[in-house]
Amino acid sequence: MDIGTLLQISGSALGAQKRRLEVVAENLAGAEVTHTADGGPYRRKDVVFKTFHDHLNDARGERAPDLVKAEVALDPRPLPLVHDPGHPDADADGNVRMPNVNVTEEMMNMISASRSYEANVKAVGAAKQMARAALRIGE
Amino acid sequence: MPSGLTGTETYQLLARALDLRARAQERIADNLANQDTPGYKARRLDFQDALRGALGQEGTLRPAATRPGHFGATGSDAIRHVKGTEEVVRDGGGPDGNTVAPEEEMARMAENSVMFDAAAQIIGAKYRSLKYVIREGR
Repeated sequence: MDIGTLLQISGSALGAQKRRLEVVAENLAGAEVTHTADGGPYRRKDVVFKTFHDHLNDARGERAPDLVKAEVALDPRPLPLVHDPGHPDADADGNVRMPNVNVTEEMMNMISASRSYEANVKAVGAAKQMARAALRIGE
Repeated sequence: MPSGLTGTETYQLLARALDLRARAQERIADNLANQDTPGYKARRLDFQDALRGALGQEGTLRPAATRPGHFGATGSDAIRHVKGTEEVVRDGGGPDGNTVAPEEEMARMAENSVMFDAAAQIIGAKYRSLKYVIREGR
């Protein structure tokens, strides 16, 4: 019974899903930002999940657990041009470059991330319960 | 008890079941962790038939080991060597090629931890009755 491995797997997923939620929060916060520190409008960030293996586990001589990590990338989709002559960042034609954030998409992403997070919390709970059951043997 | 107090087939079977359930749980945790990883293929550990097979092997004829070279003679060996097979789910994925079905994994996880609990309880009960006998029924 290796509760450490189980917690390592679910822990990596909890971290990755949390990162995804952070990115959703950043995107929602930046949804209307036309002026970032780097200049230009905010560009949406996207999270890509990747499987990786911790080499510590190779020593066991068994298949290493599939840990997961979240990598953040910039969304390459074009920044929409919106006609708003009153906007301080509007160009000579009255057009403004807006961030490529779609609020509906972010909300869906948020729900999906919190469901995945919950599933992994349940997995941690199951691992704990199994360890407890094993420890009760011989009581 | 024929082969030592805890060397019987039942103990071996329960101990093996605990180990394999723990391994199956690792695969379930893998799948749940990677439910959003593009292209990830779900895996599951299949061992019930192998365990049953090993048990059947022992339930029938057990040849006596009269020489060191004889194999398959010690009763619990077949059980102890059951590893199970890892099955990779390749079909039925979404557009990103991920084949993890989270609700299926949750159901499997519930079943697996209940079965782990059951094996742990039975093994615990066996030890308790052993203790009872050692204490001369007190």
